[in-house]
Amino acid sequence: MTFSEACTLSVLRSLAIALTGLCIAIPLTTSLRVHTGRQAMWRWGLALLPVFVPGLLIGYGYRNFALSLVHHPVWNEVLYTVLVMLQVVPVGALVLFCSPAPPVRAAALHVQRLVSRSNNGRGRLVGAWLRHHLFAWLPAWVVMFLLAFQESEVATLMQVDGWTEWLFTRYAAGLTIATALRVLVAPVLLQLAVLIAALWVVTDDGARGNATSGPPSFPSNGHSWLATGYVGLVLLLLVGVPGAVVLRGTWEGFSVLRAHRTLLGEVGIALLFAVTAGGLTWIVSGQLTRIRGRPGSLLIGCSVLPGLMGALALGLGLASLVQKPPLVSLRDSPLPLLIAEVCFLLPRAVLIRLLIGRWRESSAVHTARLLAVAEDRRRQRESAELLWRLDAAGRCGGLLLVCFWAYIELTLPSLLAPPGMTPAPVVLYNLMHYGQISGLSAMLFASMATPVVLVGIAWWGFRLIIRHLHSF
Amino acid sequence: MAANNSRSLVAAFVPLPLRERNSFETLASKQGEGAVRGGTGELVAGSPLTLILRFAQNLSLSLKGRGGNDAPPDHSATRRPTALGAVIVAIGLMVAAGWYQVSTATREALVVYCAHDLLYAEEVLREFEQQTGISVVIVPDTEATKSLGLVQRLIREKDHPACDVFWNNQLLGTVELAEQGVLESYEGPGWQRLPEQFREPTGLWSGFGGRLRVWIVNTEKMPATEEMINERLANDVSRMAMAKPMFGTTLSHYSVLWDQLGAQGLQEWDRDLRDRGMSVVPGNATVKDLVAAGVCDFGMTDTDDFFLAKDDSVPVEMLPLRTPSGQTICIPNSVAIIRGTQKRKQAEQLVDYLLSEAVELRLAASKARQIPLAPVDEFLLSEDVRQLKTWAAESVDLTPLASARREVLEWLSQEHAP
Repeated sequence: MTFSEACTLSVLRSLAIALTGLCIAIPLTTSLRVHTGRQAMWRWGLALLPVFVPGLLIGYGYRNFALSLVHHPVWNEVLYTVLVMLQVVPVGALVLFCSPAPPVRAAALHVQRLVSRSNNGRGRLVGAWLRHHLFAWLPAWVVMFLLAFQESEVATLMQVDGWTEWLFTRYAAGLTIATALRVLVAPVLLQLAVLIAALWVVTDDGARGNATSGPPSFPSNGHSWLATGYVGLVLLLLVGVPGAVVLRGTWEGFSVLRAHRTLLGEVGIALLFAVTAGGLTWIVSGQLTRIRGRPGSLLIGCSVLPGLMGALALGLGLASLVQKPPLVSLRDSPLPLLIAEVCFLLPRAVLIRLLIGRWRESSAVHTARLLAVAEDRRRQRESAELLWRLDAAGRCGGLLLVCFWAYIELTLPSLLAPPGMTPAPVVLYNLMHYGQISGLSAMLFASMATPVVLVGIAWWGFRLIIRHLHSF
Repeated sequence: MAANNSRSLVAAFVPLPLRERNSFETLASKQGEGAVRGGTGELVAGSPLTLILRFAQNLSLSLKGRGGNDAPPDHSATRRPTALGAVIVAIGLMVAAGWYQVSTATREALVVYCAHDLLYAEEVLREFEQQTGISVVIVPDTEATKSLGLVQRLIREKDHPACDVFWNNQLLGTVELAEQGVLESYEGPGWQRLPEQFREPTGLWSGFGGRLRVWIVNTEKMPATEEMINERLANDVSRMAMAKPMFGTTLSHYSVLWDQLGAQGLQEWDRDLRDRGMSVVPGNATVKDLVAAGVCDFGMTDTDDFFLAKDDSVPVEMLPLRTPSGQTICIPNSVAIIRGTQKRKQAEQLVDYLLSEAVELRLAASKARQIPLAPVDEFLLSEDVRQLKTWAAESVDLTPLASARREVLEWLSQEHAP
């Protein structure tokens, strides 16, 4: 397969994924919007589950099954498309949730519909309908398209063709960096074009509404069923199947962990990269989102652009910089990888910050802070609990999530990790050509369970500290 | 407000006034100007500690949700972010200690680029560490580009080498490196005990522990005989599997065929098999998995992969894969010292260790059943390895095939050109 063919295949697949994903994300968001409080938290938690499942785990879980489809590549392609679609839908739902209100409200559309019956203005109605929905749906569609287009981890393990797999393999196999960068121009330009088109539609000043959220709509039964079906599929295909494969192997191959003590060091290195890159990303995103107005938007746009181009483009770009003097001395340091991870994670961190801002009720936080001044110790404790829930929990969760993403990132360390600093996920990926063997499952379980446990401990620790600080 | 925030962003990177003394509370309230308290209440401009403290304070403010322009000011709690900052400083110091330890360990270690399967190589190299006290950093190849990836990386890094010793799981890539001037000569005791076919005359590389290219056959699907394989090759190859020829030992296999069939002969053979539906998969282990699972009936792989399936009690048998001239293909591991290494003595120690009889016997006794190439005590070899040794004696000499490998790579790259 040539690069052009691989690229075309990726575009067509991503278009299909983004379109289907949008059809699921819209009712999913609608059904999630009506809930509040703890119920909303649980529902969002379940819907967002794919965001926490590493591609490495999904690819490993389906590797053998994908192999058995070697004579039926179309079915393998369909399975891969479904898995990626399930992965990107929650991100689309999140973007829909925090998208600004469309310029043409539903009520206006309804009035236009009534008027167009009498005045025969169907053309204008179609125009208004398109404007309404393009504005509301385009950002989500674009994000899902970009995520599907950049996906490489599951594709490589399931042996599905695509531009990322083509370029990564050929680069590792000796394609010169100059050729790799030349080849990279087409997919980067394509992604830029999609982004610019979306920005043009969304930031059209004349079309922008004043409200910050879409009009409230109530889910029909169909919406609820679709959302439930989606969550069920996610639990089965993205969590259940890979989880079962890994747990079964772990049970049989747990003894391998004692023989492979180096895994501990590799997990430690992955944690070092995760904490450093995650912390830096969180700080930078915090500073960026504080800057308001047009300069702020411009700065955010410029800062997140490299990350939006995907890990492969970013990694190859940085690899080209550190291969020749004067930056070659940095090649064997962790700096290029840290910079790349910060750039890559920045769009996600900014999105989380925006979501936190969207959810945060400033007046409630202020009231809770006032409560903290009370003499009564009980009131102080209540205030601390409230402040944790209303304010700090989101920030701590965001920081931990960014660190977790840095931990499970695979493409960037594959390209940029210096000798002796290869994180555990990359080491495990390099062992996956053995297929699903019990020892590897045990190692995968250990290396993926570690950050989950640590995130839990850190969450508990943050909660304890912040509540304690507020209550004395 | 925007101006204030811009200032705080800039201030985060601006050196602080030297040795400015200030009170704890004042400093906390001056966060917008980038003031941070040192351990004894002193500020040291641009020092790593200052940066860590500034990082921690920013993070603590961020976690506490203060400093955002939608939050009403809370002057009563100025001490809290700094207290949280202290916790974050502790985490920061732990992370810094971790980085220090990792970078020190890496700086002192011998860097070994290893294309051999980590399952076997890691055990051997860890034992070398225990015996000599020399720590080793192993850099494996990517899953997709077995051995070729590291060869290309070494060529890319030729002027600024990061590697000390290269342990390749085949030979021709190492020969290519020798021709490109990437390797340093070493004629140690290990090199001296090798037959001439498996060592470079000036010591640029040495071969050890070979594998054979073999047919792997699922005996529940077809009998494991040469006649049946030939019949299937002539009629139906839709249930045959082969690894991508651009990588690993399949590249060496194609180089032999390029040499014996000629360029046109190999290209026609390859195209014919693909057109008739042969499955081309990423690696030899995948070929083994497909045949073992009965998804494919037979395929081309290496002996180490075959024995993994055999040991799992899967119904598979093997036959040596013979070239048009009737020879077998034995592909040795190879080891070489990289030109420009700063750890020449340690590198020599590792090369001697890998070429020792003990390591060859160890590799022969492993699940991979690698074939010893230098003279060893035959009584210590298993029945499987003795059989392999007789087939290996009929092998093609790979050393003159470096140019064929280059031409095959060029052809395959053009087939998949952008």
